[in-house]
Amino acid sequence: MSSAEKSPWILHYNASSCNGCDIEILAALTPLYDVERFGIINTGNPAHADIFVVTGSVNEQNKEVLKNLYDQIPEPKVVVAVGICAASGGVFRDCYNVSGGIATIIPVDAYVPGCSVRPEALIEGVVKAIGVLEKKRALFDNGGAK
Amino acid sequence: MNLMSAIGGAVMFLFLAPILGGLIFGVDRVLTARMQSRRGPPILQPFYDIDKLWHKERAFANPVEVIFTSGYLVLIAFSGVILFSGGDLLLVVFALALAHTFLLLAAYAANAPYSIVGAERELIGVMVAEPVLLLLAVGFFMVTESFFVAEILSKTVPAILSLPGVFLALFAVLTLKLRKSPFDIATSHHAHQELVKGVTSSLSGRTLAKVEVAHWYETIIILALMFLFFAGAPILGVAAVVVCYFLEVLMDNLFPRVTWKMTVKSLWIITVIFAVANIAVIGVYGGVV
Amino acid sequence: MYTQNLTAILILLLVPLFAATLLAVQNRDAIRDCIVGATSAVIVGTSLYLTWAAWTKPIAIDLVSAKEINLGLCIVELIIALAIIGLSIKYLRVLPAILGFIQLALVGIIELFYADSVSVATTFIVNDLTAVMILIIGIIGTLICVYALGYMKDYHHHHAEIPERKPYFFAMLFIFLSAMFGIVLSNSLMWILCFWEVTTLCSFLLIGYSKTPEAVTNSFRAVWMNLIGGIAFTLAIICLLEIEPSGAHLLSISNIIIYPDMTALTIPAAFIAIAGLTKAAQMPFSTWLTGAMVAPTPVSALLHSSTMVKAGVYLLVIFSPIFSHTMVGIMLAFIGAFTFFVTSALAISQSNAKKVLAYSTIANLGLITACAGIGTPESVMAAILLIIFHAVAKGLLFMCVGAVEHRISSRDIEDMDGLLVRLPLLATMMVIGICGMYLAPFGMLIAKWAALVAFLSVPFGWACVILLAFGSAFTLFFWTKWLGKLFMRMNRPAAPETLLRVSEKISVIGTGVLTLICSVGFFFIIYLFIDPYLTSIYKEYSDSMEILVFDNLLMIVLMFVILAILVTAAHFGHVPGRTLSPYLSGRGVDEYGRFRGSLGVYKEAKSANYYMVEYCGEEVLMRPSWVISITLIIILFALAFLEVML
Repeated sequence: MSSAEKSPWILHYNASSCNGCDIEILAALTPLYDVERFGIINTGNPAHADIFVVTGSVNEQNKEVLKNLYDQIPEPKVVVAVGICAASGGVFRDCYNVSGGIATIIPVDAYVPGCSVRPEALIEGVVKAIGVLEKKRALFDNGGAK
Repeated sequence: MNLMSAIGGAVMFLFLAPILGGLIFGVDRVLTARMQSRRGPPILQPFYDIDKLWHKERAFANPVEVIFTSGYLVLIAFSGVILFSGGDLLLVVFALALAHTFLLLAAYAANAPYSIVGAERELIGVMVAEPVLLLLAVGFFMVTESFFVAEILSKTVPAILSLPGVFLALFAVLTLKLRKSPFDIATSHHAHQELVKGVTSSLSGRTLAKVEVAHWYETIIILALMFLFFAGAPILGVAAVVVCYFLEVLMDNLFPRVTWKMTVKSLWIITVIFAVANIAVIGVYGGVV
Repeated sequence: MYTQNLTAILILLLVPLFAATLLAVQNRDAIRDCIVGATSAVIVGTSLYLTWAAWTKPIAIDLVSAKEINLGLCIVELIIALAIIGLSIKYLRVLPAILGFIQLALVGIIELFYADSVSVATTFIVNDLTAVMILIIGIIGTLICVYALGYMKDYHHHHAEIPERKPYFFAMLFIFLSAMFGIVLSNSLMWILCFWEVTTLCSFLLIGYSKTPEAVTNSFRAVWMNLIGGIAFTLAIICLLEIEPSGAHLLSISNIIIYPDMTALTIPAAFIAIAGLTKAAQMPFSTWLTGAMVAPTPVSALLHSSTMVKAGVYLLVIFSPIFSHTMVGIMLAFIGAFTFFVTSALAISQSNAKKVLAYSTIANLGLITACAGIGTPESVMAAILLIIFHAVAKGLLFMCVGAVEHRISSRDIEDMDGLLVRLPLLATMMVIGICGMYLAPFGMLIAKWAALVAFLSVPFGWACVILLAFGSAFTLFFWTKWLGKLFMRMNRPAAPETLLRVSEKISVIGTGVLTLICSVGFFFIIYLFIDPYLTSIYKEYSDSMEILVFDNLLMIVLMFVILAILVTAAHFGHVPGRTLSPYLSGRGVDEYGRFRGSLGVYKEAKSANYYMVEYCGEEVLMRPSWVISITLIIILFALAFLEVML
């Protein structure tokens, strides 16, 4: 188990979520769930982040923002799509301005189902993502630093 | 100055300060978590963070950041070397100011709005701390007639007896130096920052790791300065430093929403009331030692 | 040997005057370039020679014809007073006219009642302090004159509305240089007073160069404040003549500092203090220097930072043995330290680069004043170091700001972002200048350090130290935010190389290199010049500088090494890695660093510095500091009288 697994820092982005999932993400930081146990920190800054946690679906306005934030996260990085909207667009899928889940813009490594998600599911999703992050780091290290 | 002890002190600082500093921050995070009735991360968490950051992709907003953050780390460590080799306190203060300039330039050069606002506010923090550090050196000189740490340490009566006000001012500055508070300057791990980590917002991977390690060094320097007030009574000194640090964590949790304007005002009021008055009293009546 | 030295002195005094005459009568750029270049070369050479000569053996020269020269200088003084009165009447200014009349009357009194006793035995003295001043005037002064050649061409291009009076301008600069040499070389207070008034007149006329209403107002403000100084100086001379009427014993500086009865000198010393305070633009007289920034930048560089204002503190420094351990000296030190504190805070609130430089100049002069007032050997050492480093670094900064202003059409610091990419040479020199002003391990910081240590050795010095501690914090703030501006937004594409005129290039690079050399070689400056001077003046002085123990020198050298490695690495190193676009909450950024807004419009994200106008603005701080400083001056005089009476 390397340090990548022990210190996953999160960037949380609300693409066009109804705030339901977002409130659950913040709930995970509270004493009851305390994700800092796993070394997880909600950084709010792509330059510091390892895990990109996105809620909500993608629309025309936030496409570019999503792409930008993803690009600004240094390798190795993983993306977690939180909630049904982030997975597929959810109930908003057929809206004229919604292009679907975030996988239409950036590669997703873990999906957390739910509307809204439960903190336990969220934590499990992030832990799954940490496993992917670990593999990516091994690949990245072998590929040599860019 | 004894050459061997000077070199010994410097080498000890260079190697042990990061370890001790990291541990202190680990304990700090657990302590903070417990105060908020959470479990908190492992004590070694700061080291995991640094290791992870070191293995991230090399990315930056501006390539000069790499030089500037290296300069920051080297010069902070150098300030500590001066301090722990028994050198001149004033030179320590000046070297710290030079080191901070490098961090600020790294943030200014990042071309990003948050980074620049962060740099400006960090600069305010440096400005607020500067008179306290200078008055600290001056106070020690007035009491022990030397700026040299080696000579201050050789005194048998602790300087705290003559300089309680300056010590209080330094305690107040420690709040700022731990970077937890005020929340609109802060770059710590709390979730309550305003500026997406202000001065470090454009740093990532190794550059960020260097700044973190420099921060550990700096914390050890400030704590060592606190200890210096108890030269002659080392056990009391260690106890005082531990108590002060605990109080800092407590204060941070009690007042998480302090703004930079409040900080400037309150810290300088504290400085004027305690440190300046302390110096004036010693200037007029002489110290206890 | 004597005659050679005398020739050198006369060259320094007369060649600039001769050049001024030539410059005044012709108006062709090519010829002007030649005259200025040649004269500068002569002055630099002679200054170096004279410094060397004085360093091997202090020079003291008696002139047989001193009496005749005395009379000549008196006539010059009368002409100056009349010129000022005339101009005041022409522009309907009452205060300068009244002060001019008072000055005229006082000089008349000296001529009528003390005519026989104003001759001083030794005419010229060149000791190590004089040598330092000669080097500053000779090298920095001429570099600035050379810089002015290129600058003035652009100046009139940028200010087409201002009538071109270049012959007049350059003639004034050289007359001023001659007068400055006069001040530092003369041993007689009467002569110094005369040259002093010449510099006042030059400053007055050069501030008013553009003849805009603002310039005229500011030039008259400068002249009336400096006339107060001139009057105080004249009063000091009259007091000295009263104390020792027989012969001109006390008009000779070399005699005055070894006078046995120091208490008797308290009152003239207080007057000299006022003279120094006005010339050095200390509180409450600071407004003339900030107003003087309307003048073309070479004037600000030469008169209002590097040399003329130094005459004020130079006078205080040579009188510092008299100030030492007196209440007058301590009050003077308080005024200086207070000025440092207040003007450093005021500098935070300014975004006009020249105004920041002006306030910083006043602040540093305040520090020098404080050192002179303390008057111990250690503090005088600090004062001389401050004079040297400030002259070099501030001259450099003024020249940079002037040249930058003509390239970017602004002297506002807010417009200087990314200057390192837009004007690499000027910005690099500016960085050197700024670092030289406040950062370890460069010169000014070493000097401030020496000052701080010196303050602590005297009673009430701690009060100055407290002001110094807070003032230094302000200094740190306003310099660093300026420095940061130069490094901001460096990712924009490099601008097409703008042409920097040769003369400007020579001067800016020359001064920049000098700044670095002085900083690195500060120890040699102390060892070669300041130590011998202090040994000759103070009997109790033994060359044991506390800050200069081996440990500290080693650390300072190490700091230079670290900085050198970092700069080299920054310059030549290649950093592998990916450049991320700047973060603004995920918005897109184009190649100019502009951010894409909601409707696809690219906007430049502009970040301004903090100015804290509500705390540090002129409206907030000026009045209280006038009250405090005037109170301090009144106390100074009260204490002076008390000391004499008791």
